[in-house]
Amino acid sequence: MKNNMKRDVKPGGRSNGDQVVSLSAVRLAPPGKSSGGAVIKAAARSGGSLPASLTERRPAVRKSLKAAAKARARRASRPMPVEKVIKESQRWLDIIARHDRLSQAQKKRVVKETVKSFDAYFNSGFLAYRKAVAEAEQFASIEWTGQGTHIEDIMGRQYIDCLGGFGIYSAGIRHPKIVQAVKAQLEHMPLSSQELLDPLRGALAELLGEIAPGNLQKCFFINNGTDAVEGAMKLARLYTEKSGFISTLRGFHGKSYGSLSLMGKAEFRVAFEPLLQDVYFVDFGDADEVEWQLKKARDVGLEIAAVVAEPVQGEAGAIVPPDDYWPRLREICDEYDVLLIADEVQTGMGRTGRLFGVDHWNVIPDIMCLGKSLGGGVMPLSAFVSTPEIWEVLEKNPFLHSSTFGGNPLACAAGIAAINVTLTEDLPGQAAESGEYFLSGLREIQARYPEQVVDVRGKGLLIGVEFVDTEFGYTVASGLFRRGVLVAGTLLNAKTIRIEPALFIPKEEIDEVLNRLDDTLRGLV
Amino acid sequence: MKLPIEGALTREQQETLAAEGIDSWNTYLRRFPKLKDRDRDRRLVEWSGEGSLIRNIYGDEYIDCLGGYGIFSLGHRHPEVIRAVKAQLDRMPLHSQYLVNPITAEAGRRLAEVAPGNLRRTFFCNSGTEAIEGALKLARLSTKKRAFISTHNAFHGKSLGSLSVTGRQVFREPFQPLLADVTFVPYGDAAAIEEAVTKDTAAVILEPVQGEGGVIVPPDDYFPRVREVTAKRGALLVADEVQTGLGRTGTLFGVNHWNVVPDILCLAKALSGGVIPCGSFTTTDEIFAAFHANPMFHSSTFGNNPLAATAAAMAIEITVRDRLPERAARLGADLLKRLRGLQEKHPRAIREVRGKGLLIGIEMRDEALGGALAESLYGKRILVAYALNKPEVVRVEPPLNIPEPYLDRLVEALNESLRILPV
Repeated sequence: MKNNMKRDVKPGGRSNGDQVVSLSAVRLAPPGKSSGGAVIKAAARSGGSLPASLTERRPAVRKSLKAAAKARARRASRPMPVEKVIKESQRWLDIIARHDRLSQAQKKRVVKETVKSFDAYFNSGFLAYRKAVAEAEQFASIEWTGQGTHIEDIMGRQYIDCLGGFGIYSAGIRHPKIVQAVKAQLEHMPLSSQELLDPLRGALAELLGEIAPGNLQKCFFINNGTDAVEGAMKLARLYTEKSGFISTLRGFHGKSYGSLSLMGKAEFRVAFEPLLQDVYFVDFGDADEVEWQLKKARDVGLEIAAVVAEPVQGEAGAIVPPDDYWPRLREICDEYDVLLIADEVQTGMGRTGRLFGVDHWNVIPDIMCLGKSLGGGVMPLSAFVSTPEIWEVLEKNPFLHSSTFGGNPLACAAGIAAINVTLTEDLPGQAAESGEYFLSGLREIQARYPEQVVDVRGKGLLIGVEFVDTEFGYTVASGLFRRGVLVAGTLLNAKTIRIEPALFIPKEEIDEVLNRLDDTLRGLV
Repeated sequence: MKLPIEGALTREQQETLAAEGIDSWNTYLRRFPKLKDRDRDRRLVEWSGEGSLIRNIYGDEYIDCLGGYGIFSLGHRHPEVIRAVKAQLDRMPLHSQYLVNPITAEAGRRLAEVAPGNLRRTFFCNSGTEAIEGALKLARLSTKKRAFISTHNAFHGKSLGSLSVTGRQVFREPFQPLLADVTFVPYGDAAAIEEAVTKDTAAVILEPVQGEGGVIVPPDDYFPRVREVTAKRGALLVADEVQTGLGRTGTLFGVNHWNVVPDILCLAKALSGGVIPCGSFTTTDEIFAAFHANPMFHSSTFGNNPLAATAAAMAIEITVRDRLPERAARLGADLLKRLRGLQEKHPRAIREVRGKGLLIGIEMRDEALGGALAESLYGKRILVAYALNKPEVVRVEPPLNIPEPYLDRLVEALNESLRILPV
């Protein structure tokens, strides 16, 4: 490689003659056009569908590697803009410090810069995807603050949050008790030394051991749902000494390589193949299929470590299984000697009207995965929980599964506070009651617009409203956005919008959302 | 247990917290197999950190030369990071995932400003292993090839994708079969990579300095040669800078030592500012374009959250502003010299001392000696660690802004400990 890269990074800059920095020296290439024709083709090949908005965007041709190398060299010869970074960051610090006292001009500048940065440095695909940009009239909606069930953008526009950050805001946004705990922990020790014992991890584990179903008692804490599923899969293989998994069609368990291998929809898999090989898929809600799959596996000698399912399928569009599904899964797994893994990342911590989804059917899985709302909507936090007997295999060599950030004290403080809030405010009970109320209101709306609203379903406050097609669903979500309500499609079923507000959402606000939905639909038909 | 939110602890509270901390660890998490002595155990319960010091619940102070395996490059609770994070907590810790969150956009911009070459598109996540998972997915997506080349003793993480490119049997074996299509070659040998690359190679993944593998510094022509080979053969070069990034080895990124610009650069650990977990992978516009087609191809609920982005933005700023990479280079060179002096004095205990910047490994003659040394330093209130993939190597990875007298104390304590080790 031609070595014209004299960009020897010396952060001080000035100590080195050729590193005098000027703002004009910084030249960034124009933001890349969106591309990925191959991706679209791959998805099409697999029969997977792409979001409607995508088909309109024209992918640009990917530059050759030689051109990429040239561009690399060009940027490499550029000195690091130390002073610029310092000045810019100081400006942002001032903005952060004065967050509630910004002038109108400052606010507009933040909006402009955010959209620019998203486009240039992040994923410009999101800008088209997000209705906050596509549908907002004069200024894109830049989120700025939130409290409880409300989000306020930087221009001061208010939204009722019925998306709940895809299920993280069960305790609402910035629950004071949870924020307070995190702040206090910041004063001690946010992340662990990794050598001494961090007491909060122990404390949270104990609390979780107390509230988890049955004999689920041992936990491992990490940062997000996909990591929890990865850990559960590893534990299942380690304990059973078998490698296969049974997952469900339209099951969603995450997007890292292990959890992605359980993904029940081609669109998200195809471009990243080959994934883990021995995963078998069955229909969700049909226990006979699981039994049939296990029987086949046994007859031909395929080894299955575990069956993985969500108590209520979330991203598939809030699909509630028959009441005998989970009890039968438990029986079948016992009979065939495989583990049962409940992915409660979205359903856990009260979302469906019970503390855990499996509690509806009094089923105790072998491993349970938690995430999303476990961190109280303040910190990323997830966990997998299992029985002492299964856990034994991890204890022989504690380094078989470990994580640098997993179970950090700050996240654990949030988790402890989240459990406290969930129980003191009886969030599961509130979800059960409000869920019924919301569902019956939605069914009334369905009765008024039977052509457009195909189905209303859900459990607790994990609710899906299915529309006649994807296009219509998107239009409804956009209409609600303009009326100050945030909802979004489910990831694996864009015809269905999800309603996942804070579990303590007051009745008046539910009425308000129902009114605005009715208003939106009236305008569309 | 009630969370101690405010105020100083009474002695009784200290005792209770310590006892419950140990009990809960043993009952609900993973048991600590080696530790039996309860009183000793109690002293192990950490309580607060500041700069390069950690205090246990009784207020005993430890010098942190382990740096949370590389998290604490800015030390513990850097006041500016804490201030910014608190302000963000008061506004919006996590995101709506609907409206556009400006803080993460700003963090992405800053990273682009300082990243090598034309790397400027970032996906933020919460840990190093996720950064690697994302990089592997992106490599396959953008090249439309499937195979990876990794190195012996490489450590890239423990989720099933990153584990597939981790080069140590003990971590892999119980969880097989992992992703197929991964070839392992010896680290530091560019010819081996040249031989292993095929037309199906999506990416070669390398650490600039192997951290968990025992602090292995490659020959100076290694990265430039691998860069050349991968560019020629149409494979991507993924630099796993999870441990080496943000100044640790004496330059802002490890690859800067050799002026190499990788195709994808993974960060984590120090990107957290020592406060909020954060990881990232950064690439060029051209490569990232594959993700634009469908932003949901790779997404994460907690990824890109503004609280972590605040910490990351501050970490980048402080590292650059305070010239921490330069400081790491200077202190590291000096420390290496002094440690080599100790090696000469204790050749039967120390086999080799090596490192770059403040990522330093002391290779002992055997694993037991490594353990004994770490233990003895612990007794002298200094924390160091073993390398995960090579326990005979004691790792020294202090905050980059560690006051120099603490390093003097480390050398002194090492000298004392080495004298009494049973060799």
